[in-house]
Formats: sequence, C-alpha cells, structure tokens
Amino acid sequence: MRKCIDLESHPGFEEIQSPVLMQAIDRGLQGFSGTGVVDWGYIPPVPKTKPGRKAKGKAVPLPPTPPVDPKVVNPAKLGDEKHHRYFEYLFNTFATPEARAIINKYPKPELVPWNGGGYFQPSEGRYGAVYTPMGMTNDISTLFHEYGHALDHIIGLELHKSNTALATSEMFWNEMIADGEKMGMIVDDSIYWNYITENGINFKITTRRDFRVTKGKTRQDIERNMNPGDHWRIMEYLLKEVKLDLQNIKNTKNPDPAKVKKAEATKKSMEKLYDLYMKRVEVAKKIRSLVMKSKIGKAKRDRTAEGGIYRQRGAIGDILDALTAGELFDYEVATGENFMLGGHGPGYYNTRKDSRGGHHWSLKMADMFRRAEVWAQLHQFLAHQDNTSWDIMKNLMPNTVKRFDALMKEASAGNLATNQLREIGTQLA
Amino acid sequence: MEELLFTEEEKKYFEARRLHQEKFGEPPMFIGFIDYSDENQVEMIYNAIRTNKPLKEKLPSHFRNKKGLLID
Repeated sequence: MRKCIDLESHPGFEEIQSPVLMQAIDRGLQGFSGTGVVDWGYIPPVPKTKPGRKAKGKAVPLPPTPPVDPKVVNPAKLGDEKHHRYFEYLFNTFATPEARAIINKYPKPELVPWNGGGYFQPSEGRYGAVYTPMGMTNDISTLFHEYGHALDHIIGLELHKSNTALATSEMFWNEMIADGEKMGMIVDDSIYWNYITENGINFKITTRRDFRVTKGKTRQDIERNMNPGDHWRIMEYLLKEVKLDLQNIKNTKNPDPAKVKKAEATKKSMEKLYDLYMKRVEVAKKIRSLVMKSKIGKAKRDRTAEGGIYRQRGAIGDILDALTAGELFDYEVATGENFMLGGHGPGYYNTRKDSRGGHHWSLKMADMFRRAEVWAQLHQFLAHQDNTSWDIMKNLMPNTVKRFDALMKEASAGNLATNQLREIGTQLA
Repeated sequence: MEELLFTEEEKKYFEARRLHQEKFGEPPMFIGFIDYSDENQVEMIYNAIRTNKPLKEKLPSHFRNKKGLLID
C-alpha cells in the first residue's frame, strides 16, 4: 500500500516533498486496522446535524403502562397486543366514559404504533388501520384524532351500511357548510372563478413566475396550476383587472350601455368578495385571540399535562383551514401575515398543488377531506375529558356540533345486532 | 386590532417559514397536520435551507406503495 503512493522514485517526482502529507500517510498506515477506519492523527470535523430529512420525532422511554384503575367506567378494550395496553391507558386516563363506550361497541381498526405522524388508512384490514405515535408529546391528541377518522368509517360501515369510506361525516356536511357561512369562513366566490373562466388570465404572479390560464377552463383546471399563495395573489390582480375593464369600456366614443352595466356589476361583485375575504381574515384573528386566551392557548407542550390539550389549539386552526379550503393559509403565504393556529397546508383541502406536486382528483374528493378532518377534530374534543375546545366549537359552529353530537349518540344507542339481522333478512328475502 | 398572542414556538416556526419562503419563493410543504409548536418541523425547515433544497415532505416509504385512501 505504501508503494502505491510512493512517487519519489518516479521520473519528475524526485524533487517533490510534502512532509505534512507523508506524515499523515504514515500515521494512517500505522493506525490502519483493517476495519476501514484510518487514524489520521486528528479528529475530522463532523457536521453537528446531518442534512436531509429527519424523522418527525423519537419516542421517549416510557414507564411500564399502569394497570387499569378499577374505578374506570367502561375501560377501553382495543386488542391483545402490548401496544394496545398503552393506547387503552390513554383512553382510560384522558377520554370520557361515553367515548370509551362507543369505542368498545364497534369493531376495532388495526392500531399501529407509528412515530412518523398520524394516519388512517380505511382500506387496510377489515376496518382500516390507525397509525399513531407512542410516547411522544402528541400521542394523546393524535390517537383521539385518528380514532375519530376510524369511527367515522366504522360507524358508516356498521350502523349506516355505507359502501364508501368515511361516510358518517357526510351526514353533517350541510350543517358544516351552513355554520361556515355564518362564521364568514365560507363565502360565495363564484365571481372569482367565473371571471377567469370567461376571460382567461395571464400575468406575472411573482417575480419568478407567470400565471397563465386560457379562457374556458373550469375551476378545477385553474386550481391545478395554483401554487401556495396564488389564490390571494390572483384575487389582488382581479381586483385591479375589473377596474381596468370598466375604464376601458367607458373610455370609448360611444360606450355600449349593456357592456358598461355588466362590467360595473362584475367590479361590484369582485370588490364585495375582496371585502368578504378581508373580513374572514379578521374573524380568524378574533378566533385565534379567543383560543389563545383560553385554557388550551395557555397549555404547555407536554405529553400528559392536562392531557396534552396544547395541541387542540392547532386542531381549531385546522377546522378553519378546512372550512376555507386552505385559503387562509394561502393568504398567509401571499402576504407574510401570520395568525393561523395550525392546519394541513397546501393542497389538502382543495385541488391545488400539494407537497408532492400532485393534487386531489376532484373538488368532491377535496370536500371529503374537509368534512372528514372537521369530524376527527370534533371527535378529539368530544372524547377528551377537558371541555374547553368543545365549548369553543359549540359557540363557533353550533349546528355542526349539535349534529355531530346527535350522530355520536345515535352510534352509541344504535342496535348493531338488529341491523345485522335485518341485513340477513333482506338477503334471504 | 386583535391580540394574536403568539407562543415562542410559533414565533420560531413563522421565522423559519419566512426564511424558507424568502430563499425558495415558496413555503415549506409538509405531509399531514402542521403543528406550529413542533420543533422537529422547524428543524426540517432549517435543514432544507442549509441543504439548499426546498422542503417538500414525501410520504413515509411505508405508505408509498400502498393503494387506497390515506387520511391524516
């Protein structure tokens, strides 16, 4: 090995001397142990953190799961594995007896300990699979949220005999939309999309990008081209554009009265929409303020202190994100203003680009995500022993909360055996 | 004017997001629920800035080849 780099004897290299290099090579050879580790005589610099993607978190060492307190009403029974004991412990300690009764009544999804975020996959196994963390600061809220998705799905299958995934939340869609409108979160934005469909659009949306859509495209076609922040950037552009349209029509020798009337109406509608959007931002700020002054706003990030309710403030933010189909988040990106409490980010509640560069297939699909997430957040609040978030939501979305509560009570009282017998009878008939 | 009452964690998150947006012209993109108090998400943003690669979180490999709906 020494010979391979010994150049002194080669013509033209005799005079080249590099004591530092020779010394390093000699030390390396002395330290070479055949393990691939070379002692260079000093400690090579190592970056403090490794670049690239990191896991979302590591589990903390957990003490043994305590035995079930005999005083617990309706102790949760989730399965026979060791990790089931832990998730049962979370439900037995932080959930209400009513929530545990519904969990026990219905077939169980697969429960998979997963410290890379929470997921529910309806198609895995007979009743879907819940992926949820163990021993992390977010394990209570994630379990209660993901189990809410599972119940949405399982109650739909077992009680309502639905053939589609996550069907129970479909039953509170009307209330959710009505409350969203009353709150000012859901507004009639048809003028926004109709204008682009009728006129097309072509402008420099940021210093780095152009935004171009030809006439005749549908809302879904338009959304597919939109990046985070574009919805609001386009709104600001349209506001100027409708004024220019009107000026151009009036600025002729004999303006066509019909065209003037139409341009005036369009301008008025667009300005009204802009005002509604601005009002929506103000309402979201008020809600933030209300939440931050409440117990959940003051709760510290801690795994078990007050049952991990600190994360419920983000869950309320997520409900606003769902109601506005991601448009408050979009506004934050475009303007640099921050007021959201949490959410799912770009492309989750609409058909715009998501983090993978893809998008939902249809607006109907995006709407399914909107109602399913509101459902799971409400389940998280209802199931928890702390009522702060539930009470906030009762004030913000009274009809939705009432309907959700009624659906859960119906699920609790529903006779599954009777339904199964009825089904068998129908099949026999 | 509403009092927005940001937590220290939120301030760190929003600053990281601002820097990311300033550098790449777009916000960091996460899979799943964005929790502004999650320091791991803040660290992911700074890693993206350090490595000069905008953050577009991918699904964990476990789910990539699975078919069907996945909700978080």
